[in-house]
Amino acid sequence: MLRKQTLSRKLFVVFNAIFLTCISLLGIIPFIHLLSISLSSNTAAMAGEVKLWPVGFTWDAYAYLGEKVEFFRSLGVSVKRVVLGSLVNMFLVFITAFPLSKSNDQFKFRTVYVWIFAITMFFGGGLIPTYIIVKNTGLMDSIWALILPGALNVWNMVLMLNFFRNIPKELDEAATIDGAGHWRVLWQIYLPVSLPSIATIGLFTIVGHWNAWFDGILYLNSPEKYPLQTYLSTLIMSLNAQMSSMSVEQLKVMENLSEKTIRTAQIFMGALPIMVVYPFLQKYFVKGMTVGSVKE
Amino acid sequence: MDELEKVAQAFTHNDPDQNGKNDTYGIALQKNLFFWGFDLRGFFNGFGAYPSVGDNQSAWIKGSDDKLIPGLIQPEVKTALGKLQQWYKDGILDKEFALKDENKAVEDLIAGKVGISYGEWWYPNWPLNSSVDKDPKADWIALQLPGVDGPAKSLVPKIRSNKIFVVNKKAKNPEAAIKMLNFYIEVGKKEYKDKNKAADGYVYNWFNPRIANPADIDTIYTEVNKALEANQEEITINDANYKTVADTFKATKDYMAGDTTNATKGINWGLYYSRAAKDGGWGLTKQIKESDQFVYNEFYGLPTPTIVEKGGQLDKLMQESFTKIIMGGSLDEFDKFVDSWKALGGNQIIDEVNERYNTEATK
Amino acid sequence: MKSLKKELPLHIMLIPGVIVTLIYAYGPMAGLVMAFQQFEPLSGFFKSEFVGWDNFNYVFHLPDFKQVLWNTLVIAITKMVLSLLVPLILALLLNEITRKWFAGFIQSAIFLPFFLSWTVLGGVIIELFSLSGPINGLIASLGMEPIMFMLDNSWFRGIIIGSDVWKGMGYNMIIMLAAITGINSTLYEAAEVDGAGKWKQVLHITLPGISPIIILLAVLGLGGILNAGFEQILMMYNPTVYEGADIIDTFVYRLGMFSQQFGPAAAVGLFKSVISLFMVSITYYAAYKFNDYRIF
Repeated sequence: MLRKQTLSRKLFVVFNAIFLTCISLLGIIPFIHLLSISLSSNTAAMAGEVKLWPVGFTWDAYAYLGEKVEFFRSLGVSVKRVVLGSLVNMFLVFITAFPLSKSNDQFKFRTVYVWIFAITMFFGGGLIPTYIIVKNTGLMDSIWALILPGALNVWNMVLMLNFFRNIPKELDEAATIDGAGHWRVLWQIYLPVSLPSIATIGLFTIVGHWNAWFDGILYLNSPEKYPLQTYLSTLIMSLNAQMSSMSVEQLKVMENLSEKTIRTAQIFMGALPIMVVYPFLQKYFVKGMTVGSVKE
Repeated sequence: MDELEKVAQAFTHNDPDQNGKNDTYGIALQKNLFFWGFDLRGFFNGFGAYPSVGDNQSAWIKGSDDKLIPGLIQPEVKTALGKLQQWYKDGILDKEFALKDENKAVEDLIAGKVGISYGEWWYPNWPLNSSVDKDPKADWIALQLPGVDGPAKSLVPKIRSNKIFVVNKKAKNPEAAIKMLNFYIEVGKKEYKDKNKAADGYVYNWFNPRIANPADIDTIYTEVNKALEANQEEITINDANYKTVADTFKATKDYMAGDTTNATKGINWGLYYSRAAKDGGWGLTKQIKESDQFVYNEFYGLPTPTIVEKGGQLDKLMQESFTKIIMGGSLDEFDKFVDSWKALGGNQIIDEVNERYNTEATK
Repeated sequence: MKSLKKELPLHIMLIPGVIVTLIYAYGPMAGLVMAFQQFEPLSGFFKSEFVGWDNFNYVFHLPDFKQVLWNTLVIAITKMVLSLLVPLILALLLNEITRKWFAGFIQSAIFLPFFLSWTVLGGVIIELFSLSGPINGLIASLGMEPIMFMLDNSWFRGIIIGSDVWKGMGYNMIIMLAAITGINSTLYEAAEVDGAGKWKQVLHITLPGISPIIILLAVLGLGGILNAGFEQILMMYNPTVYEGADIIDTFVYRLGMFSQQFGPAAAVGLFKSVISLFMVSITYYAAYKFNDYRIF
């Protein structure tokens, strides 16, 4: 078949590329701005002089972050949390979405289960009751406090459920006819075929775990168990009336590192690993997944 | 007040940073009109108005019949607002002050974009130290509040404690709290000089429970000046105040000698000017204190029930009304504000505050 | 009973999810009782005074509540609509890019702002639109009067909505892209054979193919109808724009200024939850009745 590229199509392709590049710039510029601040001197940053390029270039903020043993320790904790947490999350999302993606005839009580989960998307007890429960289930000061309470993310599960529904029923039927039970269908058929959705939801899960910092503050008592973002958040020294009672050493520390440069360096250190992992997950968003095993 | 206006205008219009651009202004201000810094408390005091001690609290002063009246709704506030409106138009206040938080206001101060700020004695310590570091020619002076006819009186809280520490009677070691308190006091002595510093990114001295004795600041002032006059090289007293006195003394000596090996000029100047200088932050405050140039906020303690219930709403009303008036709204809006304030709960609060004052307060 | 035996594996698959949800999602919900109490932390849930609907009455009768409710609805609904439209258009456009590395780059760039928190972005945006910022700089060079964007009610709302859509568009876009890749490529080939141009293909294949996901995102978005962006607005607002941008959450936040108001805060939270559930239930059943499509 001849595919003629009409003029309008050519124009569209060009404008599309330009347009999307502009939008991409919109997304990148704030990062460049923040990166520049993190590499600028304290006084320049405090005076608001930094726009898109460092002023008074210095590695000080990063050196401050990097020379602390705690930094690398918390980095390790974060990796552990992300790997463990994402595996747990993805596993639960996967096995929970599968039964719920069946139709109501195939699975009675499906609707009941679905609403049990769905309601938790709208109602929550809030911080204090959750804290009490976490405490009473013995998770305090353990990495599991960062993993179990959010182990089943209903939103992600619902997404996965919908992706499952898009998988042609014929695959399911063919396998069942061949005598496969639900477990085998799930792992041997659904798993390979849902890679794009697993990659997508996996990405969100990994990002969520990587960026979470507040739960660490709430549930962990020992600083050596802090994941990276929690640790970084404790570095921000609050400048308020305490300033009047600072000693010379404290002031010196404050002098060399303004809140601004530290904060932006912190943001970068926090976002960098994700930006590195992202391209690897990207190749799973493959266009045109072949479902060649099914004849329409 | 007129002098202040003239100076502020000079800062605004005469291009003090000499960069050929009209980008400076006179007086620092951020969006919370009554805050802990870079706000308008002192300004209002200059007009005999005492609306607030900061932190969103309304102040209460003794009225003519010995009852407490809220400073926020007095006619002097209206006069002051009129002046502010004029200054805003003139550019003395930054046109976008309502957008700025304290960090932004500090940025402007350090960058040399503004020349005057109302504030408290510790400003030289921060943020003015950074200003001096950025511009070594920066020469900040401390002044008593300018008033309409001569210097004005500052509004001060009657009682300055803002925390109570409680130990649960079921706690295993309740004496630990007292031990910690004593520890902090002990650690100020000379022999702990080297250990008493921040470590691992934590400033351990800031952990609670911790008591700061307000009289310590005066001790620093007295002891450092004593040592300076006696031409000492080091501080000789040794008690809990050793560390703070020694630090200030060292900084003062370094500043006077132009020595920047230990800390920058800004830091040295900051410590010196806030605590030790006779005409600096504390020095001036001490004079004001000793010459009775202040007015007490007679209300202290926990908020009354109506303040809890309606406080947020009333504060929103005040911020909106005042900000609008400053930015050009009609001054009659102030009268409307007073009526609304009273109707929305203000009248109840007046009663509650006076009742508490009559029954419980130490006068 | 035979069906139960066949369905048993499905039930078993749901067990871990149900357990985690019951403990960590339903458990804390008991704390919702705070909404009906004059809650004092020292008295806890059992000894705080029960006040029935008082907390609700108190908040609903505060003078500015109507204004605040209206603002919330306007901002939330506009955000909802745009957060579906914009990512959709972007996903469709991005889908037309053939060079994989370019597409990957654009995707990553658009997703980047998602990582930044409002504590950082808020300050950046305020500066961007300030009188001395780049936008006004551009306006001045075009010979027009500078505009105080952040101090004007209508502009401010626009900036709030625009920046939130910009920050989050990557998220929805990725989900939609994943859905697009799930569409059977043979459908496109068949359409080409039939002579359908790219535009027709989008209209008749792509859009219908991802309509389940769009409906899902729309319905769940509707559940957030009273969430207009608390953290964002808190970081960027100021008293001059309270009139147009104060939302329920920021309003309630300031209510706790003089003393924590656990009861009223919980009451408002409960109110919002009920409305969310209501909205989602209606649309769920509407989608089911009209499209025979269950969202979950």
